[in-house]
Amino acid sequence: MNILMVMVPIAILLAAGAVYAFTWAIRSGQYEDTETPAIRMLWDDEETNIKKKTS
Amino acid sequence: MSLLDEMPLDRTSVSAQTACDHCGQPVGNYPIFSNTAVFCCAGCEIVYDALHVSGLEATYYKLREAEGINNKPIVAISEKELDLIGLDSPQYVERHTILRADGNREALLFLDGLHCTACVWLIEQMPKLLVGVQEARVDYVRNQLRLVWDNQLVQLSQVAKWLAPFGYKLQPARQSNLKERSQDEQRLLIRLGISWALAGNVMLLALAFYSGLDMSNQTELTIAGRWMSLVLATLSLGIGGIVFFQKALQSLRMAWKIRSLNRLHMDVPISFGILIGYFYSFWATITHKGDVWFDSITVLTAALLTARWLHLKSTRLAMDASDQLLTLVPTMARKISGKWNGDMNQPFELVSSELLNPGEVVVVYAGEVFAVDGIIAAGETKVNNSVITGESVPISCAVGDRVQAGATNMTGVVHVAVQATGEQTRIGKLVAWVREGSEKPAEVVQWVDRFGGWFVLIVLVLAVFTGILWWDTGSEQAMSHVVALLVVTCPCALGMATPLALAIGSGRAARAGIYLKQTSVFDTLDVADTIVLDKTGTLTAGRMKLIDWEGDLTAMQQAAVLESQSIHPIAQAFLAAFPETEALKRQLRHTIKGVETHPFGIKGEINQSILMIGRPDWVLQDIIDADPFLLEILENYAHTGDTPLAIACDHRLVAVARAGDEVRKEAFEMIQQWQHQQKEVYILSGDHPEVVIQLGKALLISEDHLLGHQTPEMKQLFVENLKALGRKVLMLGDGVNDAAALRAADIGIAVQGSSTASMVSADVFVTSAGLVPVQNMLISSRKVTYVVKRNLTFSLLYNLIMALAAILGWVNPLVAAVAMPLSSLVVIGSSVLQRTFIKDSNL
Repeated sequence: MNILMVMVPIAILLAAGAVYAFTWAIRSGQYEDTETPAIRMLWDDEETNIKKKTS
Repeated sequence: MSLLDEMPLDRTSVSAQTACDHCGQPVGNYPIFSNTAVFCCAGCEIVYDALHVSGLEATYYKLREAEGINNKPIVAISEKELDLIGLDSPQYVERHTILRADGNREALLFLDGLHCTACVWLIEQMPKLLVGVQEARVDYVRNQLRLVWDNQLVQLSQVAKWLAPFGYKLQPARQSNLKERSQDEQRLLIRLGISWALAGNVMLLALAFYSGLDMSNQTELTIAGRWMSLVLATLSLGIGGIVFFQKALQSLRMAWKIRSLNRLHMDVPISFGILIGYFYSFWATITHKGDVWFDSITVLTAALLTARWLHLKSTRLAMDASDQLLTLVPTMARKISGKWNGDMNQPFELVSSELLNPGEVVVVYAGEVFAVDGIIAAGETKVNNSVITGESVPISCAVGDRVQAGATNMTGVVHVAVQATGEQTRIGKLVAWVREGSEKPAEVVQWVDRFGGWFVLIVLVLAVFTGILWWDTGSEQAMSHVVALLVVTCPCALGMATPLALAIGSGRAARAGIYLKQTSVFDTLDVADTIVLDKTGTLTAGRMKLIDWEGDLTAMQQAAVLESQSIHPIAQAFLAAFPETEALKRQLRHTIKGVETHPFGIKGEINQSILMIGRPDWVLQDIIDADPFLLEILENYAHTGDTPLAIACDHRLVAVARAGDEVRKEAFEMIQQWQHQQKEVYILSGDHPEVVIQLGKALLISEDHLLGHQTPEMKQLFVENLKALGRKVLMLGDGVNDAAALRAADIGIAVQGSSTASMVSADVFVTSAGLVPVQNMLISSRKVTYVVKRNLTFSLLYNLIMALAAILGWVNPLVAAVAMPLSSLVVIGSSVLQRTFIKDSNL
């Protein structure tokens, strides 16, 4: 039974971590737009000869 | 870039059919050449150059091609069309953008002109191209751009100018609304996620009980499990359930205030069920006696939150769309400092347009958009009201004339005395009206909500009845049966049944290009029995076409060549009918002489003969010899309601034709279907009655349902009269002249290309042309209503059966744990699996 004394805090810690990660993901807008990223991933990462405009 | 692209262009290889290097359309007779490319117009050249200068062209064109929409090129926006007033002023930046911790500014901006995924790619290259822009993220669905930039290095006006040549118009948004809505949704999503996580854990623990833990001799473990469930359920109620409790409390207060049972929201019985289950289980945990219901109530909470979140998400899309309308009005204005004295050179200061007071005077330069409703105090100009009225011809305005926010000042500098700002302006009111509409729930939702009070009452009566029934078996036994009844009848499926089905329905509709302002449209669409159609642009394509012709082919082809010199709609009809015209024109170029355009037609020499094309009476007066056969056809044409045309060659009638605004090809079938379903179909048009009658006859609509010479007021009156006769009217239109009638109808549907006014006054906005989406909508809304009814029937039946089972004492926590989530899942499944708004349905 003593093992519970270790396992329960660990479980709570893990759960707290998950909740924190979840909250962070939502607050940083990860779930705001679920369509555009699907398009974005289709682009190749090829280097275009982009010319920087210094305004 | 390949070597091929670098090669100088061989100009002799270019014909009128050569594809434009930007848009892919034939370049036509007047191509524009650059060193390496050829274009159909200056607009295409600007876009191409802008892409080229940035080095983006290769990927952009590749992406666009992959999407297969070569026919929808981007069109550059000139800097004159941009409204940049005050965009860089400290006041604007302070008020409408956010200062991030790293010193950069962040803002959500609307973008007009997004139409493909290549656009998303192009805009997101901005940080690489424009110094000072840190991040650019496009939300394709909402037309929004999230921009992070360093205000020291680059300013918003520069960003707008960078985007303009690519055809994107930056529309600065008022941040507060957008931010608030997105935060509301985020908060609910967090509650939702945590609730599901807690529910999952409680279910795991409950599994141990159901598989016999509480019957074994492991009492310690049982007690620990119960306490653990209690803690998790408490958290679940505190984080998720609180949403319903607050709403329930609110409606209880409201109902108490006016002493009406009807005011009790469905959240009341829901909260009631959840709380009873919770406190009974709480007591059971402390005293180690009786059953616990923690798993049922936590799953219920999570499932209900899911439905609520889906609903919020769909309304937010509608609200954001209405906010984009508001961006038409500038956020900043130039206010005259001090007392206005009529001097045009009086100094001014930039202020936020919302902070202006009536009576103050603002300066508006040519090319700017009015930020306020007001009266011109000095100066004169031409004003384009197309945003508000759809009328694109500018009107002259002088001192004393009214101008409206959202209209564009075209030519002169004017001083405007402010009458109304922000939400008080006409456009502001329109947007507010739209928003109001999207907040009004459907009738069936209201019905379910009103049912809440009765539900509580019925459940309470049943609970008392159950208590009395089981009293003999001892109070403890009776109590547990009563609690079983109260928990198991929690109307969560009922609470989700309608909003969920409607929210999913309108979400699907939006994906199909049909925007519903409010979900109540579904109810009305289903019962609509009268369909009123506008003619031009709705029933027809709004473009002239050669419908029929008879006579000499060569003469017709030559006529087309001659017509290609004109920009008249009839000329366009000829060019569309004879695609070989361009080739022919190059051959005959040198034989074309003395082309004159008359009010009634066109005349000129081609291939050594004089050709006349035009109105029959005008052409015939010049005719020596006319074929009676052709004359007879001409006579027939005159009765079709279309425009008859005569073609004469060297004073001889050689051909006759009929041009008209062609009816959309699906119209006949659709109208037959509607009439077959006992729906009355009317056509209202501003056109000549004869035209309307001919068109209507072809569509097999009886003559008394066809009305011509209709003014906007007459259209509105007509719709109102129909309504007074008890008919449910669906009105379909596109122009400003339909706006009032659209508003008056039970359901107004604005089709693609509508003026803002009609879009705003309609209940539904369809982004694709034609009647197919309308038919799709009619069919789909019947299905949605069916799903709603199916859900309602199921949930009511469920509650009835479970109540009966509970009274008979058959319900224990295990039964509830299976039945309750199952009922919610059935409702969710039934809503999600609705087959509505399928894009390519065979209609």
